[in-house]
Amino acid sequence: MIPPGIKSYKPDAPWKNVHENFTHTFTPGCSWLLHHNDAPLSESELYKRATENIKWVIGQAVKKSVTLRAVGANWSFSPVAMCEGGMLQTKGLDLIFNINNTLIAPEYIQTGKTHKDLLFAECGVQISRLNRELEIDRSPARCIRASGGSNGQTVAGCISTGTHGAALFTGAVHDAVVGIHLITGPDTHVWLERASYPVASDKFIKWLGATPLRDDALFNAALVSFGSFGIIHGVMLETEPLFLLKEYRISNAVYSDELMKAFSKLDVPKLTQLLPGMPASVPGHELYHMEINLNPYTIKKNSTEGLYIFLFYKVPVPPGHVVDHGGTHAPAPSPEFIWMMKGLLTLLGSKKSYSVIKKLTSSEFEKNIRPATPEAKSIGAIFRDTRFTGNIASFAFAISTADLPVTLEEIRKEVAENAFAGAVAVRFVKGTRATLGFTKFENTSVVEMDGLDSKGNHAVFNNIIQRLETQQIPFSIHWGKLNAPLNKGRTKDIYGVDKIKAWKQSRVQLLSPAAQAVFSNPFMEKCGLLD
Amino acid sequence: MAKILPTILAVVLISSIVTSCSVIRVVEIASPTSDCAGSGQHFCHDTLVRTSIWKSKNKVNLKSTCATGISRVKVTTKPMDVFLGFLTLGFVVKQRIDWDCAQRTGSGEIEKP
Repeated sequence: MIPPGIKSYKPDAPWKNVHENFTHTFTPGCSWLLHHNDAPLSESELYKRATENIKWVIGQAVKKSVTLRAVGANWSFSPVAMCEGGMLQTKGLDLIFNINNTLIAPEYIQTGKTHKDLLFAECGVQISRLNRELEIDRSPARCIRASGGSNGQTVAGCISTGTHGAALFTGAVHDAVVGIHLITGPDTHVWLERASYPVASDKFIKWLGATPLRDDALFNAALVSFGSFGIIHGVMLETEPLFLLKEYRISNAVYSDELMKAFSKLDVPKLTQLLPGMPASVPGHELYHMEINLNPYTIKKNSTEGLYIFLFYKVPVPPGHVVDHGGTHAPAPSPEFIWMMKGLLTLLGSKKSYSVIKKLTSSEFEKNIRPATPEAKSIGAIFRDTRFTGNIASFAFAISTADLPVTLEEIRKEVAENAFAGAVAVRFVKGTRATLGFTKFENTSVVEMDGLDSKGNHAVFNNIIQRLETQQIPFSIHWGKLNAPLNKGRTKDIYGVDKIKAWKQSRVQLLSPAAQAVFSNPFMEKCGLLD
Repeated sequence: MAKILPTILAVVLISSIVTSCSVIRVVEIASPTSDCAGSGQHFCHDTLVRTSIWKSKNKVNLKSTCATGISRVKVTTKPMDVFLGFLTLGFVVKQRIDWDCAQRTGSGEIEKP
C-alpha cells in the first residue's frame, strides 16, 4: 500500500527537460510524486512524514533493483539528473522553516551570527518562492546571496548542479548552504555539515531524526553531487539582511588588452579608470555582481562594438522601499520564433547559413541586450522567471579569471570560422569549496554561450573546449547545462585524480552498495564517477 | 467572379484555420511556481476539453484541483482541432488546458510555539 503523501507517477514518454534539449524514457511503474496536500498535519509533521516517504520510495527502488533520481524543476539542460529507472518528483515538498536560537549550535553563535541568518528549506522549494518568502513575506526582510539568471529551479536542483550567478566576492548558490539533510537509503538519513563550521544544535538534528555527520570532506563532496549521494530532503541556507543591487550598463568600453588585463586581475581600481562611467566601489555602494555580454561577431580589439558590461552594486534599502517581483519583461524571442529560426538554419545547413546567422544573431543581440534598470532592485526582483522559453541551448564553462583574455580571443577565432547562433556572456564568481563544484578556480569566470539548440551550436561548444585544451587553458564545464564534451578523461583532467577519488570515497562512505546502485546513472558512468 | 470564388474560399478557410490555432499563456502570479514538473514546456497538470460553442455552460474549474491556488495556465488549440470545429460548425471544440498549481507561501515552525 502506498503511504499518504506519495502518489504513483507516470512520466510522459518520452520525457523532456524544460528547455526541451533532450528526451528520456523512464522504466514504467517506478516513478513517484511526493506532496503535502492531504493531511491535517503541522508543517513540522509534514516534513517528517516526507522524510519517511523518501525512505519508502528508495526502499521500493532497492526492492525492484531499479535506479532512482530526484527531479525538481526539470531545469537541467543535460541528462545529469536522469536515470533509466524512475523519477521522484520533489517539487511538492515546498516547506520553509524558521530557525530559532535553540536549533543552532553554540559554535555558530560564537561566530557572531544568529538564527536570523539561517533558513531551512525543503528540497522542492523553488527559488522564486524562496525569494518571495525572504524579500516580501519576512520581516525584517532578508535575501539570498546569489542567484542564477532566472528563478525556476528548486533549491536542491540549484545547489546540486552548481548554479552560480555572478556574485564576484560571494560565490555560487551552493556556497551559502551550511547544512544538508540527506536521505541515503531505505533506513538511513544523515545531517551533514562542516566540522569547521557547525550550524545545527543537537535538538535540531533530533527533530530530524537523522544521524549527525560533521565532516568537511563529506559535506563538500555531497554539496555538488547531482543526485548521486541520495535524495537531499532539506538544506540550511545562510541569508543576508535585504540589500538592493543598483545596476549600471557600460556600452562604450573599448575592448583593449589593457581592459582585459584589468579584468583578468580583477583590478577594480584599474577597471574604474578604464570603464567609462564605472562608479567607485565604496562602503554603501559596493561592487557585487559583474558580467560581460559580448557579440562574438562584432567585437574587435580597440573598438567599442559588441561589448556590454553590466555592473551591480550592493546598496542599502532606502526607507519606504517596496519589493516588487512583478512587472513586465523586456521583449525576448518567442518560443515560436526560436523554433522557426532553428528550422530555417537546419534547412540551410551550416556552411550556407553563416551569413544569415551572423546577421540575425547580431540583430537579435542588439535588440535583446537589456537596458540597465534605473532604480535599485532586490535579487528576487532582478533575476526572475526566464525571459527566453522554448528550445534553447545553454552551454557554460569555467576558467580562471586570469585566463579570460586568451579565452575570449579563442571564442572570437572560433566564431570567425564557425557560425554560432547565440550570445556570449562572462560572469565572475568566487571559487567554491565543493569538491566537484565547477566554479573551482579561486577567481572563476564562467563563460556562457546561450543560443539556439542547433547542431551547429553544439559543434561550436565542442570546438571551443578543444581550443582550450590546445591552448592548455584549465577549464571546467557546468554540470547542469549542455555538457556533451564531458567524458571520463576530461572529468579526470578537470578535477584531478585526488578530488575524484575523495568524491567517490565520500559516496561509498554515505551509501550502502544497494543505495549506490539506486543512485547511479549513465551520466556518472560517462564521466568516470562510478568505477 | 466564379473563377476567383474558390480562391477566396480557400484563402478564408486557410486564414481561419491559421489564425484560430493558438497558444495562450496566462500567468496569474509574478514569479510562477508549481507543485510538480511537467515534461518539456508542458505544465504539470493538463486536461483535454471537448465542448461545443452551442452549449450554454462551458466552465472548467481548475482552481479546485490546486490546494494552494493556480500559478499559471496555458490553453492550446491545435490546427487540426480548429479544422474540426470549423467542419462541425462549432459542435466539437477541442482544446488542451495545461496548468500549474502554485507552491505554498509563508514559512513554518519546527517547534510548536
